[in-house]
Amino acid sequence: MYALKELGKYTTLLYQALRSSTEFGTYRKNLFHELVKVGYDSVPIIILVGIFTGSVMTLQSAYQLEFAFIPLSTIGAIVSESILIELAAVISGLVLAGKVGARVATELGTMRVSEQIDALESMGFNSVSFLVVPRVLAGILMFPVLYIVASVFGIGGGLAAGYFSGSVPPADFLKGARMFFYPWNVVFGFLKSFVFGFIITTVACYKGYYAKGGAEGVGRATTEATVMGCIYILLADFILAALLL
Amino acid sequence: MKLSNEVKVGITVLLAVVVAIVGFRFMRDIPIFRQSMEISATFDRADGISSGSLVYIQGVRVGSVNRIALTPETRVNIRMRIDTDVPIPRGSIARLTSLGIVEGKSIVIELGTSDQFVEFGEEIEGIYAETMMEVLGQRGEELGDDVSNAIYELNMFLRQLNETLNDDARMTLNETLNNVSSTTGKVAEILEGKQQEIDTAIESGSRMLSQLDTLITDSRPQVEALMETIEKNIAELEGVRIELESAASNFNEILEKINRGEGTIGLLVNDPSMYENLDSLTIELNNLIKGINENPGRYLRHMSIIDIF
Amino acid sequence: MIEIKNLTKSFNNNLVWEDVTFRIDDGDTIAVIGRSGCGKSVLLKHINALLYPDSGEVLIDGENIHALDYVSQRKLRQKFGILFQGSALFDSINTFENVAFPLRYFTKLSESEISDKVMQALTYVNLEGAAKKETSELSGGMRKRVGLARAIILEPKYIMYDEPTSGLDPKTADEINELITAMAERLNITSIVITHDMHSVLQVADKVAFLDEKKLSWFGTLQEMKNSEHPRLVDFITASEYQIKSNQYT
Ligand SMILES: Nc1ncnc2c1ncn2[C@@H]1O[C@H](COP(=O)(O)OP(=O)(O)O)[C@@H](O)[C@H]1O
Ligand SMILES: [Mg+2]
Repeated sequence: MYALKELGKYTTLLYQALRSSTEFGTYRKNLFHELVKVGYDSVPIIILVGIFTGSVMTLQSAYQLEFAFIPLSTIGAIVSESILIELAAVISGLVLAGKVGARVATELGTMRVSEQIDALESMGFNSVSFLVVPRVLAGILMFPVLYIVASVFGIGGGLAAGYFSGSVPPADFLKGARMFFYPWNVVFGFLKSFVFGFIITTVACYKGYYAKGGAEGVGRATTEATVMGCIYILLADFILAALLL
Repeated sequence: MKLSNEVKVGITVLLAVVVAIVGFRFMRDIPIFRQSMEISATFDRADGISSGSLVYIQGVRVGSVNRIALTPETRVNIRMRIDTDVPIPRGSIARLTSLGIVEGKSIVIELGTSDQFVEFGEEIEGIYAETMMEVLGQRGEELGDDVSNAIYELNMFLRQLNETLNDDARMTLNETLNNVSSTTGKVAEILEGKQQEIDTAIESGSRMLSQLDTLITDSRPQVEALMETIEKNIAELEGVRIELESAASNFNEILEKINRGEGTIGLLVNDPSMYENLDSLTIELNNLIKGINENPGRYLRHMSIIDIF
Repeated sequence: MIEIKNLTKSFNNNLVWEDVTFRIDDGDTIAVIGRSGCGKSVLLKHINALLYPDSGEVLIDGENIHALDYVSQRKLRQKFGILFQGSALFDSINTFENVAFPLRYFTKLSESEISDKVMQALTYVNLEGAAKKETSELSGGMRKRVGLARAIILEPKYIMYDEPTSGLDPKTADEINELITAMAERLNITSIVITHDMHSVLQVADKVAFLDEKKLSWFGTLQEMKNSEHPRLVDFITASEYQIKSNQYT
């Protein structure tokens, strides 16, 4: 019953956001602000995540396949394919659930409990258009961009790790990566990051926008936004894989 | 300099898009800036080839498979992107083959000698080179039947021979039969020798597969199916070997009888085609042995990675 | 003119108040008083349609604000300036931008016109020096005044104050009360002051609405209130008067 009510509120908020997404003038400035915060500012952490994911993948695959009767290029194939189809989207999604989701929920939660949202509404603003729309748009526009960053640095990191550890020569790594490169994997990863961006920002906006109960309420909203964001990402990952693969 | 938000967003998106396009083209093996050559070839089938499979000339990678399409005649048309300055003569042949035991399938272009060169989009001849394993997989049963038929006919013939052999012919016949005998012995020997090699190869193969298995549980059914085919093939080979062995012992028995001078000779004189039959059988057996002897490695060929995925 | 008719509100089956009916005439300053948690802020948010009633209606110049579609509702809201309990300044922008905020989105004024208007409003609340300050650097009284400057920047017809003097020292509270009176006189604004501070009521109000026991317990002019024998109202006033006196002598 409670869950149904939450779902209804969430959907209503999405509907309001969709309806007010036409008021571009209201959120234009905020949109650019958010694009920077979600996209530009997240690039360093995503690069870091990408490099480590890729290099760990390479080292571990090389270790696991050390005595196996297979060509080294297979490691390149495994690493690049895993990164493109799964890791670049999911791991950066989980990281951004913390970074972006927590920030958005805290911002909106604080604005709610300090009556800033009421103040906006009372001035005649559409607070959903002003606050929610630019954040969700920034999420769905920037997550795919960050997916590209994570993929490139993930594969690059894997390549570098193979080279520096001496386990996989770059030529073999690239050969495998290219031999098993299926464009559909990239499309799929892209789609995933798009969905994850939507999930993280909408859940965080929802939790923050309807926060109540002072500072404690904001803390609760932030925690829930992060945790629920992660859970829904994994769930969505599963559903997308079941539907599209 | 302080960047405005618009500029920051612009930089991020632009860089990502450029990197994505370059990376995509690189991964798909599409030359990033240069327009490349495109040719096509039609094959009977395209097992093991996928878009992105590599194309070689004289062992040098020159391009990759672009698109695979089934033709109305249910053959397979494969378009390849070739990125080399060396022109490809008309009459070149594209051979769909595999390069080694564990490598995936690829296309090897054997250059022709014509002084005319293929143009963009032109088609060259395609040959699907079947591997030993595929032959065995498809024809294993047929082959077994053929061998046992041959042996049955041989038995019939020898029974007749037994009745019709004369002294004059005995010398010649002795020689021929000696040949047959040693050939058959070799068959058994080689098969036995190779059996061990095959076993070890399969053992290491299955070890690798089980390791891959833990990594890629998705492909388990395929791997299992593959192992099954391999096992079936081995069993069939075993059958062939046993039959050949029993044939050999039959031979020996008969030779002994012949040596002892049993039977009559009249019919053999009236039937010279017997010699011919016997000879051609020997040649066929020799060929089979040679085939197995020359390409022991091919037993493992279709266990290459590309089939597993 | 604002007419509140038979308004009833409950949250999750907890009744806040029911059947609240009164009228706010143009030019008047109405004080809404009552104990903490009696639903004063909730009433304010109903007048602005930030909350919806279970039953009853609020007519703003004859228009039922809760029955309007969102776009017209937002238009109607622009007749109001609100000073929220915690000032509700936007903490991501500085003082000047907070006051300029409605101008930027709802008018097509040039940058210099905006600057003029903002400085004028800040001067009005005696804060001309604080324009470039971040909101986090402001004291409670200054925050209220910035909130007030922002509330009047679009020259609203009605202005609502939610506990404008709570949490302030008596001196600053007096200054705010003076501002409220000055605003009502100089700009001819109709004011609704929500408060539990009787001192403030005596200084600014023409009429008083007393929310108690989950209803509008008493409504009348300031003079009538002073003479009232409504026991709970008298109770409420005397409790406050003791406070006022003790404030004056300490
Ligand atoms: N959004 C809300 N959801 C649930 N209860 C609320 C909400 N807003 C106010 N309340 C409850 O309504 C009552 C009146 O609150 P309020 O109007 O803030 O009191 P005050 O008169 O002190 O301003 C309180 O008991 C409060 O808990
Ligand atoms: Mg209140």
